[in-house]
Amino acid sequence: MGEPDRGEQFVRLFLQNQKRIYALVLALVPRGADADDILQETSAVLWQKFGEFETGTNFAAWALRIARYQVMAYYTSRKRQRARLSDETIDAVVEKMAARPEREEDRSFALDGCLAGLDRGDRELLELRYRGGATVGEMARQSGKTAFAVYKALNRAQDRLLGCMRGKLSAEGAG
Amino acid sequence: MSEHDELGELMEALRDGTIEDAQIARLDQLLAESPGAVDYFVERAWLRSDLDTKLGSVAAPLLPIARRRPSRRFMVGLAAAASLLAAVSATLLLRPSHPATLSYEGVAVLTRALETTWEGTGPAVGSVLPQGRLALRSGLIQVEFFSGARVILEGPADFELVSANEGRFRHGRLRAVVPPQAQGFTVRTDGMTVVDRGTEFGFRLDHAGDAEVHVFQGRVEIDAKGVKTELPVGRALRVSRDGVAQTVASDPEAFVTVSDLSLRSAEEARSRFALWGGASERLRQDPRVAVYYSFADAPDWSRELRSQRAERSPLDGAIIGCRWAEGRWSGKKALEFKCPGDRVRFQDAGEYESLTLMSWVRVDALDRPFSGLMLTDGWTSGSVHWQITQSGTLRLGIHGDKQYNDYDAPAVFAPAQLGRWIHLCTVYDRDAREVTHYIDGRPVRRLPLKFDTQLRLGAAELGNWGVPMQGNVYAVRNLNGRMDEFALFGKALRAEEIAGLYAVGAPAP
Repeated sequence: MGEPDRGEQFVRLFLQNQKRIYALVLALVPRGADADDILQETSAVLWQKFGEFETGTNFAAWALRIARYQVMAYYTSRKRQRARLSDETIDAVVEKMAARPEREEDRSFALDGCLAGLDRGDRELLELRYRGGATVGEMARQSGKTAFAVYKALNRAQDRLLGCMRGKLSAEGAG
Repeated sequence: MSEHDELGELMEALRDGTIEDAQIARLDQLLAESPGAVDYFVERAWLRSDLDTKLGSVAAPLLPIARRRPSRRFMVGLAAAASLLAAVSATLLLRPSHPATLSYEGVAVLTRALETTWEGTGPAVGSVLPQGRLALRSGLIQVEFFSGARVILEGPADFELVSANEGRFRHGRLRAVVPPQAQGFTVRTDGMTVVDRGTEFGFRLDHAGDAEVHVFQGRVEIDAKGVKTELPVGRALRVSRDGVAQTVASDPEAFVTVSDLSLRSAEEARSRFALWGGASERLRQDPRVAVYYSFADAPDWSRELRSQRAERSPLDGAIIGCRWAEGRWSGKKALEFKCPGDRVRFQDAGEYESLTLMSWVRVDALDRPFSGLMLTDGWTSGSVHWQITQSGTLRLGIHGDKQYNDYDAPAVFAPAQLGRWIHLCTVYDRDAREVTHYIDGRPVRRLPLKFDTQLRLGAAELGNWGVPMQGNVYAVRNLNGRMDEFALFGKALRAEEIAGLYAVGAPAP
């Protein structure tokens, strides 16, 4: 009786951590079909190997290790670009990513507030990039700016958001 | 201004896939050496994933769907999991990955073709036809316009599709059946415009410009070089190349009717079905065949897909969920895959150096990231995953020792090609060190092998992917469509053999 169904347990842990997996993969692999495949393979492998996962240990760390393996396999399989981030760097990123304590509801709420507080130009820029899926090249062509200027603008908009979110999350956490 | 501007720029370039090798090296260096860089990298990656989910241009990882193993405890767990899933996905996590509407260009559908030869390559039956010329050397075709008008064209003929309710006729013989919804259906020639007023009419036009319009039902309006005539039922108008017009009795026998065509097509289908039957029997005896399903001779209640072997064996497929349906021809059986659980499982498919996968399928929709054709259980060394991606590429995924690769054919399934029978064949040739994909008997992509590995088939599924389970959560990978022939050869077949397999099994010439 005691142990809850493994399927249910998996779904719960997976949903709690899927944003983390997504963040890791999309930090290491370009957006597009390859990233989608890696994400899908990762979720399939996670389930496949869930029998090996020990209840009570760190699911985030375990899941990110598997995602990391999928990313590495992708790096190996791809022939055009030989350069890639070193294993040490990726390990450092995985470790940090696994260690972030995040409360999804808080973040979503904070992000709404911070997005609303952005000036119109920054907001439109982020809409174009994240809703429209535009690349920097496309954004530069569309706005008549240089790619360099678009990079700068993207940095500025996201740093403002990050600053705002830090403030909101730490304030609420303290309260 | 952030101290991490350069880092941010490199992250954005990586996201777009435009990052250069030297920039990756620089990113690595920054992350390794610059204090706080990893923290910033992770924080910003997290923000991007927030923005992707909030603003919604990319999907979050796909959650496999829970099913099967009907124990009571499981049902309780499933209900809880499902409600949890519903609650979370309703908020933000399971957005569709490609929000843009799928589209295709078209004005009509080719619904029948009998003994056709074309100038160049003609369209296949079931194809959506875009604007443009239909240059028929011989044979009969039936075209259904999106307006509802139906045209039977007898070759040799040259007919151009102008819009969903208009065509341009250069020469040949046609019969148009125009339901009330398509009133106003128009056929133009160099000197004439024929506008239908809810009827059925025949139109013959020779190279020299002599024309005849016959009205079998209702009436049509004809404008011949400025002279307007309204032609009633039972009458025909002859217009010579120099514009001399003459009214005579119409002759319905002179134009093939829809029912003629339908009867003759059925006859043609029966003879093609019989031809295929002989070839299928020879294939069953072919020593290179490792697994063969003809999908023939199965009673509707059967839940077993018999392999080529006379005796029962683990190669026989267990049918799960799928329904028996009509295949390439009337009377030919197929299995229809629709629901996420639909699959055919078989075992002991063996180990191979090289192999050839062949199937006749009718893909109805590509509504999931992967539509399975044949996938071995799991995804480990020796695994073979033959499937179609959502973007319409035919993919052979091979897993080697600690590495894997997807060998992709170009996008073969445009939306306009969905719903028609198509012959797919993929050859993994270890000796020639290449993978070749064939569509309808023609090679479309040849790719060098990335690494060498032995292929281990073991347990596998048609139309889906079965992961060996301790539980019951699966990725949705079922085919949405039908399959009516499948063969797995333990050898690489030659291009001519594949062209032959296609020709003998094509539903129409």
